[in-house]
Amino acid sequence: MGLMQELKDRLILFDGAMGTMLQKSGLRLGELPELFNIKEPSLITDIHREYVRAGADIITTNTFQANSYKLKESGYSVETVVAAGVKVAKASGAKWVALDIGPIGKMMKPLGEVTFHEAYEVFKQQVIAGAEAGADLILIETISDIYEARAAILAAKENCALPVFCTMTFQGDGRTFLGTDAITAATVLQALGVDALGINCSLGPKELKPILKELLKYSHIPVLIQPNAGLPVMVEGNTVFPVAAEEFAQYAKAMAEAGARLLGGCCGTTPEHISCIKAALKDLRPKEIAVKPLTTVASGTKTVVLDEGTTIIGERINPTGKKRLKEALRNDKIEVLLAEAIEQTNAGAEVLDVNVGLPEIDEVKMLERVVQEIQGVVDTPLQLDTINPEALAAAIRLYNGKPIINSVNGKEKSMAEVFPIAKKYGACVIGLTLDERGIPQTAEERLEIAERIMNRALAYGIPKENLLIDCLVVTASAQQSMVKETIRAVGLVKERLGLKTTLGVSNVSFGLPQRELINRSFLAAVLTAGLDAPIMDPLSQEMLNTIRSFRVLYNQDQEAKAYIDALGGAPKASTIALTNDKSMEELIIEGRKADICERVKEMLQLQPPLEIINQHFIPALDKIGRGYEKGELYLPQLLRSGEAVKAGLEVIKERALSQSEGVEGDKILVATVKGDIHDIGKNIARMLLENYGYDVIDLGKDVAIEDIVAVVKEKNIKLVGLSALMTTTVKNMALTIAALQREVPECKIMVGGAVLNPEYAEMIAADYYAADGQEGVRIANALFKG
Amino acid sequence: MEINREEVLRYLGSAAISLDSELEQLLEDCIREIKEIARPQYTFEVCRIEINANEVSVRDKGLGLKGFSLSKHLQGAEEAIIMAATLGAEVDRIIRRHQYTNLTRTVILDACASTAIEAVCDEVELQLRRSYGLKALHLTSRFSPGYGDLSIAYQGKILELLKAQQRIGLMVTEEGLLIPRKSVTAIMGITEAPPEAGLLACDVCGMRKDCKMRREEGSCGTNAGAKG
Repeated sequence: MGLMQELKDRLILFDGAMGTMLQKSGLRLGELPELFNIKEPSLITDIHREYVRAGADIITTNTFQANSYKLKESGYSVETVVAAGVKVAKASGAKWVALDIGPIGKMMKPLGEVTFHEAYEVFKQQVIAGAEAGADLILIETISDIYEARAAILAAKENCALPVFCTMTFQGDGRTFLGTDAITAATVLQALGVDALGINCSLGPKELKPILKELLKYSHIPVLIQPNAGLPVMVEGNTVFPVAAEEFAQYAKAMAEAGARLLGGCCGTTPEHISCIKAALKDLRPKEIAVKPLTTVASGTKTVVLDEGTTIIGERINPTGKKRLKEALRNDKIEVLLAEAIEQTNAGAEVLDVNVGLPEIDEVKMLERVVQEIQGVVDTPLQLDTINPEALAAAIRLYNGKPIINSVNGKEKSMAEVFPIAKKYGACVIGLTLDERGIPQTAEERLEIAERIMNRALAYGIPKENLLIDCLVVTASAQQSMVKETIRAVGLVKERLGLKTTLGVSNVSFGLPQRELINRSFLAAVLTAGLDAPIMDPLSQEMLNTIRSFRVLYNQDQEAKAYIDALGGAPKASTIALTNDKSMEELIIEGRKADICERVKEMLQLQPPLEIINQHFIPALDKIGRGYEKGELYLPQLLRSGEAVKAGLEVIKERALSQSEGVEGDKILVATVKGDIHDIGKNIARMLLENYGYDVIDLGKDVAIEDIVAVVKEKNIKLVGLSALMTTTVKNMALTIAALQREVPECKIMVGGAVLNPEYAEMIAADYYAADGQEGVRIANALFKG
Repeated sequence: MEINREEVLRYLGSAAISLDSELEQLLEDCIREIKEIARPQYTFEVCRIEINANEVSVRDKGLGLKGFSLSKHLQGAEEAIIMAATLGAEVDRIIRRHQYTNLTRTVILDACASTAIEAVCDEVELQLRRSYGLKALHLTSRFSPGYGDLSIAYQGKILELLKAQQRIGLMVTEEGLLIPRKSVTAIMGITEAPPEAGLLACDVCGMRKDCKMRREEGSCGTNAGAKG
């Protein structure tokens, strides 16, 4: 009988620690223990055999760190070490051998340097080697970064047919080092289709109990638990794990009774621990899994449960009808989209819709990139909004979590394209109630399409709870009689099919005055009809307040706490009245963003934009810059004024966009060099340069030399600003400069960053040294305007 | 973990400048935010060492730390404490997040976090000093890769020695940068005689010539050359 079959009927035992046993054997540690598979094979087999004798059903290979990063300097290939590891494990007579895969040991982007694709390739190599050597299952374990788990799971599932188990390592506060909690681990790992999931290492059985309980609440699949033998204590300079075998076994029994189906041990556990567990579990049968299906979406660190109340999906990252976003996408200014993501999240959006579809851009590349950037700055789960299946497939692969796909519809072609992707990644998916014949007139016909979509989803193996239906909003000004059909349809879908519903509510008012009034009245009506997740503008206070009051009236917001927190205080007095008599310069010095924007709007009635910039913004910025350089102002004061001017410039730009008058400045490229991921300094320089009217192209951090050269050539850039913050990355700065001077000798280069000084800058042949952003502005002014 | 307001201001310029009430408020908010999101963790090992003129070798661990400055710093010690501490990944994330909407807040948060990780190290050091004090032993001040001629390329080896990834979630990039960013590794010698009025970190800092803080205040307390 196979492992997965037996797992249905009985509790399965894993082995205990390898490291602890190796230490006991008295071998000199210091080199990678994985190499013992080759150098001391009989020793490793003996340890495995002890665990087999103790009663372990599954033996874990000694290959935790057998990846290409860790073995780089060992002189052995991944294939050799993994094959040897499987071989010595099988020689123990184990019933099943699990290929052990631990974390790579390097942090993934955006916090670190390893890309998703790189991580995937590392794991793929281990998986293929292990499967070829005859492993019976893949065990991905001790993972702190769920994004890394995702890469490993995909690598396992796409490159072998073995069962895949995955355990994560939690700290005492119930989160992994990277911030994933139990519900998110359960949500994301199950979405990827692992065969068992669980917890190992870091804590003892006592400390892991509450985390296990939480994990069991959300797991439809078998749960595996491998605690350490307690929390380590120092005894005469040695680390000791204090929980003895008998006691450990009693905990294991309690965990099996709570619902764990696979049990074993991690650091500090021995064959004795395993044989005691075996004895303790003798008469125990696995607990039935009875978990309520929930509609969940997740990022890497946060899960939203749609069953818990109305869920706000932020609609603002969508270029349709938004000139500013269109401009940003065309000019690669991703930071504009990131700011939208952050502001919507701060306003209360619980999921963010992401749509970057513009005819003139490569949507596949753009969606892939934007998704990675957004998940790097907010923990809000994303909704991937595209009609391009290729873009969807690329973006969902890199998405860290369980997203919503927006959308599929009742057309055969659409379902055939989208459902396989939704199934593979375990995503939620929105079904639009339209088909080859268009949007039906009546609620009943829309229900019919919804039902057809549901049945097809089920046939693809997509569970009902992962499907949301969008009954489609029409505009009240054009198709007035159909609006109430949408409201009715929402009710029918909820009631008859028991599916979750979503709706883009803002379109209903198109073409009418006082749009917000129509929108919020409609929103209240559809919420009452049963809408679960409105797609809306969370920055609209009116809409947000409708949701807040609905949550009170429908008993979602207990004791109206959130409502009172948001709306119970005294109304904030407007400061505009008080600042009317202040000059623009004073407003800038005090950093009064809102007032500056108002003032600029007024001034634009009378003055051309350039005059406002040159007569008001620049002199104030100059004055503040001088104050900062003299040490009379703090950096935050310089920045506060800079950000206020930036807000004023946005107002000017928006008007310019609407009137198609260009305010294009000279182009400057900025980047933090390869290998360096400090970028606050560079971002400060960018903002200051932009405020002085330059069109700054920011390539970000850790930027490859060839990318910088390519953009400089393509955009005909005359000034490049490079930043490096570490002694070790200055060499990459020197290489970047050399490449630029070779390929585009006419381009000037200024450099800055903590480890640089004028002599150093000269040594690496930079044209200019900028001690700070303010000096960067002076260099640019001298070059372009001097 | 306490975050000292004056320390934060020193990171941002000079503590001598007065702040208006709004910035004062922002500073308070940032200190509170970092305290909320930081998950300070640390680990250390006590190791036998052998000191030569230009290398400190950590016996039993197969690690040799080359450089004159560390040898000088640990003079007289036969054992050393090798430690690592971090504020955790969430601090990096939040600082990153604010960059796109509020740079002012970002630089203040960054300064608060830099102050906080030093405070964490100070607390660890103090505890260790106390417990060694009971045995009538002394500790030198903390010495980190990047100080003097001790290369930051050793970060990886030090983390391995401490099993720092497993124990506190601390990693290092190819270029020797600690991730999460607000993290520190350091070495303290254990001596029988009180160490000579220890070198000020500045004296061996690669940045001493251009360091603004040193000009004004005497020391940054950390060592800018070790920032990377």
